[in-house]
Amino acid sequence: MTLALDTAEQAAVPAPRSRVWGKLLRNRSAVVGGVLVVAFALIAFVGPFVIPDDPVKTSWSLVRKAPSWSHWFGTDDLGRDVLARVIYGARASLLAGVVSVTIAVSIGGPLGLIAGYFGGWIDAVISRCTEAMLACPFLILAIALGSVLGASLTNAMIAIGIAAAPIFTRLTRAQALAVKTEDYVEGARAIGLPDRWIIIKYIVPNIFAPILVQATLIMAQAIIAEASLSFLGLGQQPPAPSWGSMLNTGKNFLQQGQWWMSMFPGVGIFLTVLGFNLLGDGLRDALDPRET
Amino acid sequence: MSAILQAEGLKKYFKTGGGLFSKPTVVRAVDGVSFAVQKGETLAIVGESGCGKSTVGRMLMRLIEPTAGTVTFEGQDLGALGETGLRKLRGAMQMVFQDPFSSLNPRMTVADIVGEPLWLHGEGSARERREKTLELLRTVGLRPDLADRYPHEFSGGQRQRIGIARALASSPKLVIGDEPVSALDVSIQAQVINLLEDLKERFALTLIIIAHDLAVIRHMSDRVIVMYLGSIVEVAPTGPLYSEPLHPYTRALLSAIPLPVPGHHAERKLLEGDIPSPANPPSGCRFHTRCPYAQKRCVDEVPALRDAGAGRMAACHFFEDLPPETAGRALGAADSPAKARRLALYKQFRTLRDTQGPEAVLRASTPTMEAVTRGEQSS
Repeated sequence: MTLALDTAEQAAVPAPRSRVWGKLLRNRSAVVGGVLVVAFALIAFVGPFVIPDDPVKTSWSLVRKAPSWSHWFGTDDLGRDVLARVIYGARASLLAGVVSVTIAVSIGGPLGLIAGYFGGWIDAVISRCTEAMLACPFLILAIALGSVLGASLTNAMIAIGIAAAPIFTRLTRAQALAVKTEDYVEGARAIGLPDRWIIIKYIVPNIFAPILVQATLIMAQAIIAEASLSFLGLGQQPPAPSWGSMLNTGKNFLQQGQWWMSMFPGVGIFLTVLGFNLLGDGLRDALDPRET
Repeated sequence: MSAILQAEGLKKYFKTGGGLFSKPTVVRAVDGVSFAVQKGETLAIVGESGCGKSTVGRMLMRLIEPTAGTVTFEGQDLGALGETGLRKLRGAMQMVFQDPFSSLNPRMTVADIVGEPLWLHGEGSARERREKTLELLRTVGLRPDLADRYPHEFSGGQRQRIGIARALASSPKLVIGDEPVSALDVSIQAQVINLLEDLKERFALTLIIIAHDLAVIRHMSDRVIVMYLGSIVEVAPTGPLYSEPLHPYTRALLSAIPLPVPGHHAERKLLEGDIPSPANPPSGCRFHTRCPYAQKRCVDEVPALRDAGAGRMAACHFFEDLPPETAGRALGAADSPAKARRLALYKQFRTLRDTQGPEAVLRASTPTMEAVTRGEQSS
């Protein structure tokens, strides 16, 4: 009797994972952001198989044509189809965003955790290095690193990742500092939990939300940075397309009213960045068990 | 009875401030504290906030390293143990924290929180641990079907029960409660105190309760240590301490307990001034700046903690010579015969209600009310 009651009540309590999903799905801006991100991911990875045009095929007879039924987004200065290039370029942009943020979090996060949790001289060393890097503007640092590493999309992603790492170090350190003085961390030490488990089970879950939000925001910045590096010729190398290098070319023809070359990649950057930002905000709310 | 835990000359100095051109200020949070805890007793450590009582509790657990002094638990010097040895001992000593709203990890379910010590010590299979966790929840009076919820879904009293269940999970011998009820509502305080007392009986625990509330301490503890500004001023069994406090500071503390008697006007010996800064403690007896009986000697000479007989100790040069305290003032005057009768009747009501239900009270109420009236008239 009691047992049956117990199981029935237990079933009524939703599992934590499905609750996070439920909250995420009820958050309208998170859904919009998620849809945008998923849509661009689909475009980037499925689009090339669907679109008939070759993004690098030039044509002297089709130079700088306005959008038409045969070329929906028009053609660029070498007669290449802008739609095909936007679709192929999405892959470079999304990859740059995801990979460079992954690099930044996996370098900056652990350093910040170590600095914040253990403190002392190790914190002093890590913090001074972080501050030195933060003294340089993010984009300038990325460009400098990119030019040292050499011009390629991979190097651009590494450069952006390293340049963004101190942002995560500082954030993680500050969060770890705040959380480690909580009573529950002292309680964890009181039961004899080793430091590594305290960090994994107590610190990380409690600082996860702000880092995730920061990651989506930096994702947006990284996409812009990749565009900037490609714009300068340090990222994706011609003739392979990327939104940044397309903007770079397109800007030369804006004054002649040939807007399509720069507008479509620009819209792509805008929507992807917007999508990541909205998704990040939604995730932050959904991951907090205290908010219903 | 044998000592389960012994503290010898515990000191904790914190350095604050200090830069390139200035010396850091040394705060003597705890300055030479020694005591022994007997197996099975409930020892209370009381004092105003800032007197170092929580720091002592944390040093006993080795959550903070003492500047000097040793803690011996069951004959083992905690300071001499390495990190691994200490970790093994951690199960035997547990702590219940003050604030139930910050002492539980908000990202872990109740089952994970309570079961973590079991997991850490690698006890049994996942299923056995789960069962033991649910059993622990029942033990502290929580419904086991709430095990998969998060701490924020519980009230303060329930959270404190979760904290207690977690402390019990590693089958400790000694539990240190750092103001375990002071963050709770008064009505909930009683429940949690009763729970702690029940558990103490049931699991043969030794309790150290750190508190600033003498009324709470009185119900629970066998012995009381009174601290002032980082050192012990008096140690005594609970009864004698309340009826006949030796140290002027203890007297002042006791006279500050409000007495719930209408029309009672006690002359209160309220302490004047603030508690001095532990960064710059007064010379001699640390209490002399606020002591109504202070003399020249108190300014110059630090009083030792002297034996006062019957298991009592006090750190005061003059405790034998002080004017006799109006004994047991905190207890109030003896009850008048009429009041005693009313109280007896009330107790009768309670037992009737608790044993036979509210209907029995209703049935019995008429004659009993007459008895009350009769009692009133005859007195």
